[in-house]
Amino acid sequence: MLIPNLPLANLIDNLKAAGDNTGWNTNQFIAQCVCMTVLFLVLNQFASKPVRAILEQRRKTIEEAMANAEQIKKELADAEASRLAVIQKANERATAIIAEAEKTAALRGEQRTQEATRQAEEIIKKAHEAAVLDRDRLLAELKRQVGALVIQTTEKIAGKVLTADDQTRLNAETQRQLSAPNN
Amino acid sequence: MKIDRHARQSAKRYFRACLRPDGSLDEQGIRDIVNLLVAEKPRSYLPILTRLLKLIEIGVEERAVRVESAAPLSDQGASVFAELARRYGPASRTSYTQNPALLGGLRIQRGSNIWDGSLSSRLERLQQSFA
Repeated sequence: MLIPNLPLANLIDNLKAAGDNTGWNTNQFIAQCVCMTVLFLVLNQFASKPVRAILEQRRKTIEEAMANAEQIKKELADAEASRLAVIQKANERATAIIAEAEKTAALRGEQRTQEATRQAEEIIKKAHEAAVLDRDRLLAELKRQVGALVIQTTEKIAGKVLTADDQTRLNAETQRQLSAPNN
Repeated sequence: MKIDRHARQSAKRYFRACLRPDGSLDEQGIRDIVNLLVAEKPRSYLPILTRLLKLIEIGVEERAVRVESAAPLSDQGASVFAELARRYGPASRTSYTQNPALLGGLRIQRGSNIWDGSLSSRLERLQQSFA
């Protein structure tokens, strides 16, 4: 139904008339509007605002959680990258240490071999020298014993076989030494 | 007893005064010097006498002649003593002994000089050459 462009009083009257004709009650309508408005205001003040506040808070919490999750994800990625870098570095270090150890072991082995060779040569040389010394000592001992035997025999024989003429000759030899010009 | 330098020099001077021109010791001169020292008692006379006694002992030993022979010598070493006296002056003390351990020959010692022509010493030198 079209509402004619009339002043407000006419409009209200018309509405009242229409309401009277169709069961419309303007007063009730206004009272309901007032009640609805009051209800709206009350609900808005005591129900909708806290709910909105709670929703806002939850939204913020969710945002913070998401931000934290994003941060955690980023940190996890960084940690993973650091772990990989550390593992890579450790691998490189381990490889270097193993190479160094192998090099050192080879060097030590070579040194041990040289030392063993040197000691063996020294032992052989000492053994040779000891053998030579032992042989010389035995020869000297043999010579000394033969000499002592010869002299012992000569002493035993000389006491018996030297005649008075021999004694006189030996005495004369000593006296000649005494009379020698250089004495 | 500690003998200082002064006592040594004095004892040496007195000892020289006791020597005859041929190097032999003048026994009377020694007695006179000892009596003089004992009577006068100069400074350090005891160290001087001790040192003088040592010098006299050395002088006597330096002029002592000892002859050993394996076989007995008919002149008891007189010819050897005479030869040594002719060459080195009179001996302060002479001794002759027969020593069969020499085996043969003579061993003559005058002070620190030794003329050893004995067979035992020759054999000893031979033994040393083997060693």
